[in-house]
Amino acid sequence: MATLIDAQGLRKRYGDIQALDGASFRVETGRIVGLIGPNGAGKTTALKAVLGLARCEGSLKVLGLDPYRDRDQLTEQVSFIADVAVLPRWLRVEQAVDFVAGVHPRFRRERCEAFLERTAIRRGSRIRELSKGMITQLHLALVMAIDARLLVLDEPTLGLDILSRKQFYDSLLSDYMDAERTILVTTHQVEEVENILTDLLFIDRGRIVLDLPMDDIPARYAQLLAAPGQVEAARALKPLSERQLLGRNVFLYEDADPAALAALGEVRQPSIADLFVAKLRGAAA
Amino acid sequence: MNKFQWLVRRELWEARAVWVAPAICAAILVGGTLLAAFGMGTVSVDGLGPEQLTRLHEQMTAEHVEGIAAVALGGIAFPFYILVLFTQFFYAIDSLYGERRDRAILFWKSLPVSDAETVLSKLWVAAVVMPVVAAAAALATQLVVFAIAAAKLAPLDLPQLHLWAPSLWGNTLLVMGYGLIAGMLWYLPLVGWALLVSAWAPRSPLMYASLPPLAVGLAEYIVFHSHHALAVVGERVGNLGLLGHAFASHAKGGGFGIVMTAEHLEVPRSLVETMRPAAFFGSAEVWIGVAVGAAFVAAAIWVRRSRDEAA
Repeated sequence: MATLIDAQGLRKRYGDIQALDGASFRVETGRIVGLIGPNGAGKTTALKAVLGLARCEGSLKVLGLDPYRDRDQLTEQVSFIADVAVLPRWLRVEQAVDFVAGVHPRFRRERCEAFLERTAIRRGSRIRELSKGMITQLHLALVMAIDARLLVLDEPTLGLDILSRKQFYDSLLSDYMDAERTILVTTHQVEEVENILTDLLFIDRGRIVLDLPMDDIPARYAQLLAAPGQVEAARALKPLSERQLLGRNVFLYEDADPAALAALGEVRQPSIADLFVAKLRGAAA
Repeated sequence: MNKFQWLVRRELWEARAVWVAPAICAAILVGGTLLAAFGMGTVSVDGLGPEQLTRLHEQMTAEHVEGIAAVALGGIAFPFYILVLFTQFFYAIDSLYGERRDRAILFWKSLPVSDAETVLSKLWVAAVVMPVVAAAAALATQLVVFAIAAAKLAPLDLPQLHLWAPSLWGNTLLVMGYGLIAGMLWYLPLVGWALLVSAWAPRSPLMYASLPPLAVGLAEYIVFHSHHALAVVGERVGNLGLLGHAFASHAKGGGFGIVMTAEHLEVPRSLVETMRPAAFFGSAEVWIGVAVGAAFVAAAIWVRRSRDEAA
């Protein structure tokens, strides 16, 4: 598997804020990687570094190139949706399609048209006349018709209703993703991307605190609903976190012995959200 | 179409002032001509009675008529050249700021278009497309206004009147084309400055564009009690600087002017005589301005490239 992004020790300061503080990670071709972190953790800064929009200290290679210095060479291979609301409001739908077709050598117009056929978007409309969901559909139609190696999505579904959010990820998986493509996505709505990600990157205060393929979660992390009377025993196994849920104590463990946990109560696979809370609380302690 | 043509096309989709402003100007001039020709009764000349007018008419040669017609054509074109000064400046000062204001810059930057290509497409529209469109609109207006005049004057049967003389229109095209190119060079630093401020200003680029020259002018006045800096800027901003450099506006007979009294009639044979191309294209001031303009544009490209939009 080829390494698409290789970041080592990324650092970036904005005034008093250390946005990136030695973040290191790799992204392999064909993966869908979720970059997840609390507000101000450095998610957007990391994406901007990858896109060559911000200069960072440290070593960063995207497709073997320095994204800041060689940005003009990378823009054909790397597409991104920064935010659903960034399409220029004065532009008409047909103009948007014409323009991208005109300037992007890897844009496949028929794919874009086919996608738009399935929406209610009228070609003559200006973007300001479209609903937020439609703007996202249009943006996605434009981006999905580009044969890019890497697609970067920064909070792509922010402000969308549940239906549009679901449609967004459905189209991304069914119409876009294949073995040659790679997606790097940040979002706060972790439960939405839970089922589409292949890899997790947790970022907190400018550092990567967890870098894990989704497939490894069951083997490495377990959530225990402790049976009454087993709470002290459960604490003795050094959980990452402990919380109360409907009067029961819930523990989350990293690399614990499954047999030992099974003896103490009900064992489940933690959700990304549970894992996120546990890991970040751990990092904060 | 190549990439640059698409970029220019995108600008024309967005900036409708490129053709709307000259179209409005043309509509006003043509409307005014129609009103003057057919709406009102007679045209009178101040201070000259019917007798004197008749005498003037008698001494008028075809050459005089062509001179007057040339001045009239120049007068029609002039508002377009003034108007484009405003439209190109306001277009340039909004272009790179506007894409940041509506956050669309992140969409444009997601496409394989470099910062240099983007800024140069905006420069091309402001510095070349807008003046050319304005000149074309001026020419169209001249044709329409003269057609109206021809229709109005036809019943009078004036033998000296050659409204469509090839020499008249050839000379007019020459003067307009020369003025167009001279204007492009002369105003390049202004357009470049507008693009730079537009790329850089955190807000209200118009204010940021005017503050530095005013501050420099004020500082110079306080320290040296002189105002050379403001004079340099003023000469660029208005149209007098350009006219003074590219044309001899104080040539005999008042340059562009017509002297018409009861006893005396003096008109320039053609405006071509007022052109000073050798002096203009040989002037250091012109080429220093072009170099400064190019430096501003390069700086605008650099600012757009390295500007890191706050997270």
